[in-house]
Amino acid sequence: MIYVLSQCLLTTNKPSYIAKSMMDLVAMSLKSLFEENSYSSVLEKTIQLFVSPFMLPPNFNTTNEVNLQVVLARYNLLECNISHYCMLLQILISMFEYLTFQSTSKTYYEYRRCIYIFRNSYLAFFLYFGIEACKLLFAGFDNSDNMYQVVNLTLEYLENIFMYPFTLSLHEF
Amino acid sequence: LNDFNDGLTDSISLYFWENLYKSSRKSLRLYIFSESLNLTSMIGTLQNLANEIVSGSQRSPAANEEFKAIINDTRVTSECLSNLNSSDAFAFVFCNNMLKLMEQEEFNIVSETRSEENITNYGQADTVKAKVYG
Repeated sequence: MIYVLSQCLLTTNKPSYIAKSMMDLVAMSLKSLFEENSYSSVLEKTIQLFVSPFMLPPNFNTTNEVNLQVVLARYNLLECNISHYCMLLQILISMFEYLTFQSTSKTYYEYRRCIYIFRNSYLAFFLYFGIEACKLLFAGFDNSDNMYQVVNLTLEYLENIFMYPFTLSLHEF
Repeated sequence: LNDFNDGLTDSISLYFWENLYKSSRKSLRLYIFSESLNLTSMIGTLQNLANEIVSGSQRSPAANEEFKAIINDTRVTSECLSNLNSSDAFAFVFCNNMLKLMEQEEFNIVSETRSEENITNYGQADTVKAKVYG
C-alpha cells in the first residue's frame, strides 16, 4: 500500500489536498508498521522511492550500534528532485505526529510499548536521516524559494526527532 | 465442482475437499458466488459513491458510510489501490476513509491514566498485553 501510494504521488501531479491526504495515509501506514520491530527494509525502500540515491548504513540497525563518526555525505541535494525530497520530509513529519500526538493505542501500556519499540529500532534511522538532511542544507544552500521550504521542513523534522525521547515524560506528568 | 477439482494440485485439492466436507454444499456455492460478485463489481460502485460524496449533496454522509463499509473489507483494497489514478474524487475519498478506518480506535493519552487501576479498567483483552509489556 505504501509503495502504490508513493508511486501515485510521484508519477502524477495531484491537487494539493489530494496529495496531502495521500501523504497522511502513507505516514499512517508507516506508523502502524513500526509497532513491530522488523520493518527496517520497508523504511529504507520507502525513502529510496522519494530520494533514490539514499542508502542506510547497515550498522544503523539499532540505537545501540550507532556510531555517528562514520556518517558520510552520500548524496547531493542537486542530484535529487527537491519537490520529492520535500514530500518525503512531510510524510516523515506526519508520521512522527501520528506516533506521538494522535496515538491509536487503546491503553497507556500499548502506547508506551509503541514508543519504546520505535525508539529502540527506528529512531537511529531517523536521526541518521536528519543528520543527512542538515548536511544537505549546508552543502547545497541557495536563495531559491524551494530552498526555504526545505529549510523549514528540515527544522520541523529535526524538532520531532529531538523531542521524541521526551514524549513519554510529557504525557506522564 | 468436478472441473474445479481437475486443475488443482493434490494438497490444495485435499484442503478443498476437506473444507467441503466441513461445510454444506449449499453454503459453499453461495460463498464462491458472492466472492466472484464482490471482485468484479466493486470499483464502479465505489467511483459512483465517491462522485456523489464530493458533489456535496444531502446524501453525502450516507454515501460516505457506505463507501467506508465497502473498503473496510481487505479483499477490495488491492483493487482500490490499482485504480487510484483513475479519478481524483475517488483517490481523495479512498485515502481519507482509509485514514479514518486506521484511526478508528483512537485513544487519547491523558494524565488520568497514571494509576494502574484506571488502566486495567479499559478492557479485558488489553490488560494481558499491559502486563506482558509493562
